[in-house]
Amino acid sequence: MKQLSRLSVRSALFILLVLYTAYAIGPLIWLGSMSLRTTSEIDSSHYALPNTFHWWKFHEAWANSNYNNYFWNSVFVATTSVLVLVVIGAMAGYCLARYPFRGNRAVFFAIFSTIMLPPQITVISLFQILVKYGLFDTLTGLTLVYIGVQMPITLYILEGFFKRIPRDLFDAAKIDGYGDFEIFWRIGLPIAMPAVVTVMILNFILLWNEFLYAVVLITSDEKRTLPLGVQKFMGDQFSDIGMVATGAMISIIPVIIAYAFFSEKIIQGMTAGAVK
Amino acid sequence: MASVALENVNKRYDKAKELAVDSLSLEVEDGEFLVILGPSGCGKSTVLRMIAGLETITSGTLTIGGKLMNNVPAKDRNIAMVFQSYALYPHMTVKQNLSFGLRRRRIAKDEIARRVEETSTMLGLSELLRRKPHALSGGQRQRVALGRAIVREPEVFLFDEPLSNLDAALRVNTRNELVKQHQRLGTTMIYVTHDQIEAMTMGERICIINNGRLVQVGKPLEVYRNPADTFVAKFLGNPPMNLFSVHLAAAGEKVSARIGKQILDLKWPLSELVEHVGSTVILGVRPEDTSEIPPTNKGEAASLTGRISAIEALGSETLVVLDIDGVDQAFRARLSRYATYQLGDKIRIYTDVSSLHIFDPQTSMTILDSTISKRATTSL
Repeated sequence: MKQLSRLSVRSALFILLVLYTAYAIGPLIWLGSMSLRTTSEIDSSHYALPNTFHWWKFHEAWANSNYNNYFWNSVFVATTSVLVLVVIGAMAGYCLARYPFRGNRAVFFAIFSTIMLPPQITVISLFQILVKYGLFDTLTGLTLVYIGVQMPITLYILEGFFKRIPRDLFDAAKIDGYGDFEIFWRIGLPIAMPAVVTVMILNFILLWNEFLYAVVLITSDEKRTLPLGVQKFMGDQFSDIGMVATGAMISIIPVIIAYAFFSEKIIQGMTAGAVK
Repeated sequence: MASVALENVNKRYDKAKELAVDSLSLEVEDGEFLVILGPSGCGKSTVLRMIAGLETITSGTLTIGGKLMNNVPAKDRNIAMVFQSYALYPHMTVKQNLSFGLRRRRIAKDEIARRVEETSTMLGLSELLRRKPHALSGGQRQRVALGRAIVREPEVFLFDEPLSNLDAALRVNTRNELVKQHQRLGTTMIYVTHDQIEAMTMGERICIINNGRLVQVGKPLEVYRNPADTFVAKFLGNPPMNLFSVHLAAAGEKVSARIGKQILDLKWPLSELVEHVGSTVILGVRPEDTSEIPPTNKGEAASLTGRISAIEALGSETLVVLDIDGVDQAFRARLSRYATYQLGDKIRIYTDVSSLHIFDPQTSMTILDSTISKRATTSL
């Protein structure tokens, strides 16, 4: 009897997990399927699986619709922003967490409070600033905006992590003869690696998919990022939904790969407790 | 090796009204093992951190080996510290943890390898050198922390409650191990703890701190036998010393004390306490100085009766709590293991008058310190 009830609980759990997996992965499979079908095929049956795999669509998007250019633009903007965010965010987070200087909390809250502002409010001012400094419609300008926009959350995560590292570790390194920067570099940063990797992945995913700032601040075709490239297939009267799906697939593959490799690190970063 | 001296050292944290360390003067001799003892939050760790250079000194002077150290950074003080949390670098192996401080000091690689090898062999860490701290037990981590200090060959070792995270059995072993290391190295060691057993068993001298102030310094037994004030009297000893307000009165040429409704014949010459006769003082009796058996020399014994309100038969001894008529506080007595009393029994307990302590109720300081000390020393 007991065995039977255990079996039924396990079966129910299994069914629940299967349903959840289908719910989570369903849209991805649908998108994958659409990316290999033409628009007319999709129009005739939205949910059908491909009869013929139209791999040429990826080549078409990549070579003839300038996706190779958009891809490398996205790579440049996202990776540069992430690297700068991590370097500055880690140093600033470490400083705010470890040094109780006068105005420490004021600085922290001044930076962090900007998280409250929705991008629709800041985008116009940013547009004007970029125009003024000749950075409008440049990848450098977009990168700077991304760094500014993502800095508060980066700082928040890293500062919180650095704060949880016991002070004794830094004191021990001080007694071992190391200076402030060396302690950050050799002790603080390696210990905070799970949090650093977490912010790298989160920022990368977010910026890779970012649309609003890019669509306002980039106008030239050769400077578009991937999300803008997807928009290219969408018109007012007609949307080439098959190519939209192919473009979307090109843009999400790197994110899936990144997540697959680093998901464990992200979970570690999110759940890391005090370092003992 | 080096001596350490603090002179009139004060420490005030930002915005704090009170001093964390108040006019502390203390000398630690070259090669000495000094234990700083005190309750949580008394400022003992602050003292250690000031010596280490991890806290600034608000005023006063600190010298190590005769050199003024107030403004010398921690890394240049040639001290090593073992932390309560061990503070092992979690991303480094045991070997890297041990050599981390040496690498910074640009010591030759051969020399680093030799020292790490020697220290790890001495502490039984040779098999663990490739492991990271998370793969070590509490005792092993503690040994690595100690090794990290030893390998540096510092002039002064500082220990901040290094045994408090270990279980009871391991704590005893490690305590002995630390004492052995001190004998072997002969280096000055300053050890902070709130555990009186550690202080009594490890320190060549102990220094007791309360509310940021130094209360008493001396050899462990000296301090135990002659507490300078009621704080030390209560803090050292388990169960703590019984302290009662008593009224002193002259009984012929001797002095007696009234506790509740009983008169305790102290048998002390009136001349010693003449200025306190007629006033209230605090009488201290250690539980272990009491006995249910009348002493052979009755001339030196005082006795009290009380009713047993609690019994703890520990096997090696029997602890009883007595209610004494007219006294609010309970009286704790440590009786022989053969004592077979029941709750509610009325018993008479005896104590040698030479082991009694008297404190001033206003200042809490001991009265008749030298006299009692002389007596106590001769009776032991």
